[in-house]
Amino acid sequence: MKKIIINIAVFAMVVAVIVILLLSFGSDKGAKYVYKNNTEHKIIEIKPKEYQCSECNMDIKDLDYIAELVTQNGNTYFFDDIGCVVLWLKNHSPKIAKLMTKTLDTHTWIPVEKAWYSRTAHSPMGYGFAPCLKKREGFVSYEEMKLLMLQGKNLHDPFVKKQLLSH
Amino acid sequence: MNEIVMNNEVIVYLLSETLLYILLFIASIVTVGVLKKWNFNHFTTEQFTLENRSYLVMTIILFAIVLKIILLPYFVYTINALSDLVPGAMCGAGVIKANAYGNPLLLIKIVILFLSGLWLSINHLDLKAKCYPYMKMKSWFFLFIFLLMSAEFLLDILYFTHIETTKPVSCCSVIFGQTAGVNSLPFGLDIPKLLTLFYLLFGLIVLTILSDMAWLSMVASLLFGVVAYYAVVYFFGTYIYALPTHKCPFCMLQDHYWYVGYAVWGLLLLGIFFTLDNALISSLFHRKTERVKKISLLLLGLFVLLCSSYVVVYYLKNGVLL
Amino acid sequence: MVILENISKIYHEGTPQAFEALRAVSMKVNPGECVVLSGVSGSGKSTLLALIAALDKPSRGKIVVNGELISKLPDLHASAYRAKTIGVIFQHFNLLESLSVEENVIVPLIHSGLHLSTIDSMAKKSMELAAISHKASQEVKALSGGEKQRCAIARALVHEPELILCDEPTANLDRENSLKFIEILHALQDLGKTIIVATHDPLFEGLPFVNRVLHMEDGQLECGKNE
Repeated sequence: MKKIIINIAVFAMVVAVIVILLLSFGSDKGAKYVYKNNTEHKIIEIKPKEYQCSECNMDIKDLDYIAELVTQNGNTYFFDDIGCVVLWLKNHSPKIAKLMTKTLDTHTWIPVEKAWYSRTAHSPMGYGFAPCLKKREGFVSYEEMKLLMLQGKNLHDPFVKKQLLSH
Repeated sequence: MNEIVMNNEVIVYLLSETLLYILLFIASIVTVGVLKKWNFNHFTTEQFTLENRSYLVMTIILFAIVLKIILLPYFVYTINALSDLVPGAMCGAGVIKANAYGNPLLLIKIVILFLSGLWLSINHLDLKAKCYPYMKMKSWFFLFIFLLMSAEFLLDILYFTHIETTKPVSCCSVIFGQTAGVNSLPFGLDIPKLLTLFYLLFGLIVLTILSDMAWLSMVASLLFGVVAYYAVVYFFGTYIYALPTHKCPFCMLQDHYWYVGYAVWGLLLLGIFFTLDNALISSLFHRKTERVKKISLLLLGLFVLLCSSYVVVYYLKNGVLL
Repeated sequence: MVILENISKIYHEGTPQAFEALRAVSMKVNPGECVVLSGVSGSGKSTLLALIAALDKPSRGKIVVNGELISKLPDLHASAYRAKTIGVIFQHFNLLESLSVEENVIVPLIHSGLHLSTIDSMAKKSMELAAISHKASQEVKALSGGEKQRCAIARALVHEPELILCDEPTANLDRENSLKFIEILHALQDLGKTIIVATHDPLFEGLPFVNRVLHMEDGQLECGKNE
């Protein structure tokens, strides 16, 4: 009798484990990185958490820092932080039709080369670079920002962080 | 690199590993000799010499393996200690990620821990018998483990000699926290499902051990190991740290948390090991393993109790959950 | 009970000091027999007994005692074999001088797992058999040679072994005590014990209860011929 009860309990538990795993697999929407067929090279307006950053795989939650890269063949890649754009471009060389970023001050879309970048912002990935339309003291250009990112001189570096934030 | 290699803990660790490796290397050469000519049914001088030699060698292997098992927590202690030297690292998590060798090294150490423990069990069974029935099996098994230990030794040296003290590493909040990725949990699980699985699998392990369902208990314990790791890092750990955003398997090994991490991970690893040991010994060698069953149930029970107690105590103290 | 097949023992094998203590010795001792191994010092008698007692391993050959292969027993099992199957009486007694007779007799039963009362009664029985009960509480260092030998006999018998090995048991005894020892051996044989005695004492020759006397010389039995 005891053995039968134990066997039934074991069977029930195994079934429960399998059900939970199947439910989890089923509800996992999976990552969404690319918007395809954007042949008009438009900016795609997305909802928070609808897409993941192509570099760091995070859900794009904060739309204030978002950047979009549209290739010639219409693939649109999304990034939650301009620092992620720099890192992604280090390993990828697509034919870029458009590379745009949202500005923190005016909330408009501008090409990345035209923006000025703060070094001490609370950006989603913590690199500190935030694009703005208007240049302010301490802001750097796109090229300079790229160089600083590639050299690792962002807010992830404790020495740089101490230097920048003490000012 | 020099500051790392000249660090006291690293010197002690690497010296110990080197000595043990030398011992095991000698043992492996003798084991090859034993394997070539072993035949228990012979009564020749050669066979008697082999038996005496193998008894000595197995004792050396047993001694070295036990010390290697003890060295694993010391390795973890060492990398935690190095977090003071490596910029950006707040705990061992950052130090392990300091170069590409860290994670494979940790993984291979855990695999060796399990395999070494199994070897100790087989050796014990072999010595209990009067005619060394598992001599060839355990010799081959030892040689396989020794190959892994050789890779581990190489990784040890590569790892410690390639830790940069000028290049900052990510801290655990980046590695395990919200910035870690879409969903850090496996199989698409969320926290409620993870916890349900955690307790369900524990219950399943208890029942399968008590009812001698060896293979099912083995599968359940392996799955439990994976689920428990994530449960500790992404749920129970937050109650150990009393901070919902602090998700790290290493910080709990530090003194601010009374080194509870050693108890948590030690109980989990040992509990899973003894469950696997019980399953393998009873199914492959058809031996009764009542004591091993009790030990595995005790260890896993203590593990679940320890993790759950942090949540309960937090709730009782604060009236809310994190 | 005891079967030896082609037993050889070489000390320091492979070195210039190599010495062959036993050369292809074969013999058989049946249950309940009393066998005497006679021969001068260095003939290999004590070595043979040590091998039968699993105190050492042979260089070649097979030893079977009560159906169990002794010559290859791992250390753990050799200890268990000595604790259960055999009793050994040594030339120099090997007693613990600072303990009493009763304490020395109890020593083999310490790890037996038996109840204290059982151990106590077994010790008493064994001391009676060896005629040393009257000295139970006396320290061994205060005993005479003959009394020490009887204490050693009691210790060898306490766990009721089937096989008793005696290595030069009368070497340190006078004639009177040697004859007393021989009487005790006779009584043990009457109880069905199998006894092997290694000795060069001429008192053992011609004893009626001794089934066989095997002569050892230069590591071989019976002048080069084995049984």
